[in-house]
Order: sequence, then C-alpha cells, then structure tokens
Amino acid sequence: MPLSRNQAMPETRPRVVLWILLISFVAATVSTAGCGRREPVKERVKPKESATSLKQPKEKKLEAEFERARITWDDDKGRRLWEAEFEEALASQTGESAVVELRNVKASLYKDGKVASRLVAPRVVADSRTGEVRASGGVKVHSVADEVSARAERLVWKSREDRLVGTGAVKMTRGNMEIAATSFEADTAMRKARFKDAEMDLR
Amino acid sequence: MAIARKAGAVALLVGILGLYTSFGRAESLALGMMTLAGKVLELDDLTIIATGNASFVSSSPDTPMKAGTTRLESIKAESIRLDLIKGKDGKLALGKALVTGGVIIKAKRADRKTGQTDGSATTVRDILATAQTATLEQGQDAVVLRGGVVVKVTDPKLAGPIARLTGETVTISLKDNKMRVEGPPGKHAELILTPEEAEKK
Repeated sequence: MPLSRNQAMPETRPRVVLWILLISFVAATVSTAGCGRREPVKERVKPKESATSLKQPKEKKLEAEFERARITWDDDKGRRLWEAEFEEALASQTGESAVVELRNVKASLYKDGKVASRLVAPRVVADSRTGEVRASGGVKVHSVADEVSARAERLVWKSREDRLVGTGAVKMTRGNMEIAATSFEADTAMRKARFKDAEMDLR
Repeated sequence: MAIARKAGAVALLVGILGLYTSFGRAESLALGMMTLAGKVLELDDLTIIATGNASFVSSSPDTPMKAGTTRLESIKAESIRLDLIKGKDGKLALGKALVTGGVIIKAKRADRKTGQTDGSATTVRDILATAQTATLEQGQDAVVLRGGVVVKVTDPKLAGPIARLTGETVTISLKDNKMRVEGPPGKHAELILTPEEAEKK
C-alpha cells in the first residue's frame, strides 16, 4: 500500500537501491531518448519522506511512482524475462519481494532470451518473489512467431513455468480458427494450449 | 400390404470379407463451417483434440441438397482429434479426423427419386452410424467406422430404417457413394433393406 508523504524513508537495502536505480535509469533513458514518442516524457519519482507514524511497517518498505516510463526485468542470470512500457507505475519493495503495479501496459514476454509474446493490458502487477505477472481489465496477448492471439479478462504469466493462464471470456484466434473458452493455459509462445469448456470454429 | 412389408425386409448375409452396396450417387463430402467442442480442447500446433462430450458439427450453407450428395452433420464421441492442414491461401482446413469412444455420426444424403433421371426431384434421407472409432480423411472422401458398426438409413416419410448395416468395419465412400462392410473374422456382415411401402401412418 502507498505510504503517506510523512512516513519515514526506511533504511534501504542494496537490492532496493538497485531496483529503484534500474527503473529510474530506464525512465531517464526514455525521457531523453524519447523511445519513439514525440511528446516529452514526464518522470515523476516520489520516494516517500520521513515519518513518525504510530504505524510502522513490520518490514522495511520503499515505494516510488513513475509516469510514462519503461521497466525491464531480468532473472538471476541476467536473462531478460520481460519488459514493459506503461503510463503509470507504483513500485514497492517489502523484504525480499519487489512488486510493481503498472497502468496501461504494453509488455514483451521473453522465452530463452527472445521475445515470445506481446501483451497489452490496462493493469499489470508483477511480483519478483513469485515471478508472476498478473494482468487484468481485459488482456490481449499475441505470439510473435505464430499468428496466434488471445483475449481474456485476466491473465497470469508464470515466467518460471513458461506458462500463461487466462480466465474469463477467453477467445483465441489463429487465422480462420477461433476458440472460445472459459479458461486456458498455454506456453508463452502459445504453440500449445489447453482450453476448458471450449468451442472451436473453423470458418 | 403387411405381407409385402415383411417380404420387403431383405436379410443379406455376406461371408468372409466385403460387401459393396450403393444408395445413390454421392459426389463429395460437403463440409462448411466446422465447430469442435468439448469439456477440454488441447491445441498443439496443427492438432486439436476435444475430450469430454466431444462434438463436431459441420454447418453447411443453407441451400437445398443436390441429388447424389451427402452432408456430414455431426459427430459425437468421447474424443475427437482433428489434424488441420494449412492451405496455399494460409487458411486452416480439416486434414483428418480421428474419433474414438461411443461414436455417433449423423449425416444427410440426397437421393434421386425413383424414376427421375434429371436430378430435379430428390429425397433427403438421414444416416445414423454408431461405432467405436471413426476416421475421416478429406483427401480420400471416406469415413471409416470400426468396432461394432451399425449404420441406419432412414427416410422421414417412412417408419423405421430403410436400410440397416452391421459389421466390424464400414467404409462409406463419399465420392461414389459406396459402402464397404466387413464382418468380424469368421463372421458375416449384415445388410437389411426395407422397401418403401412401409410408410408412416
């Protein structure tokens, strides 16, 4: 949850610093390079300030907000897992878990260091502890290699399992084939997929 | 009339292997838009498998059937596997279907009315086939049913099936409208024909 402005800046850990630096660096890069945008990119970083609140968080926590920036996320071996452009973000770290909440997101999902799928969603929450990216609000995802695209109300990308799980009004399209289902699971590239309560039309 | 009805029911036992019989002249299998449904659908590249109340429905254009044509209407089974092929235009089409477990196939066939040769007057009959497995290959224009196969051909105007075939394997050729019926090893295939006099009342 966001901290109020008068809460304390807690003691940061090296990981937290790295996290913030990473996002800040990318945000700064976007704002200077423009990343294809004509309009100037605003950067608004708001590390929360000191506090003498009665309610001290149990764990050390740091939050930062961003606008119109880009985030990248690599695994422990430095391989790219995903990257996203967004309009707003709130990043926080509690203990060992870093969570980023993004609004109006365009993300690339990687498999073996290459982009496997692209995702568009109004809301995305990414959690470093679980390695999951949770998208909601009407999600669209399409594979890069094949002309496969899917829609769902909610979609979870389990990066460590190379798995997409979509629920709610699922529709997958591949050329003249369309599959409607209540839920589906697929690999990141959507070459293999499993649908529940499904109907496929071949037109 | 009753005697005629009874006498009209012809039981034909054919030994060992092979019986060819013809019911008109079907030209090709007409498959329009296809719908495959099931409790679970599994997609792996160009293969899709439906399991759990699996059904396959072919929605042909709503046009009158020409004499000598057959339309596959629906298949129900425990499992239906479709192997799709990609055409030159990039469109996916049915290459092969493998159906297993409690197979029920419904189709319609348009036959020329007796005495008509110009094809202007047709009678549409229903085909209901049950089997353990079935395969359908688009290139071969044939449906092969295996395992306790029973095929019934019914006419909406008549009471009861006008033809009933049983065998271990039944191949329905959709090009020349022939059916090949094979009995199980050491047993006969069976064909029962009922004349049209047995009209519904």
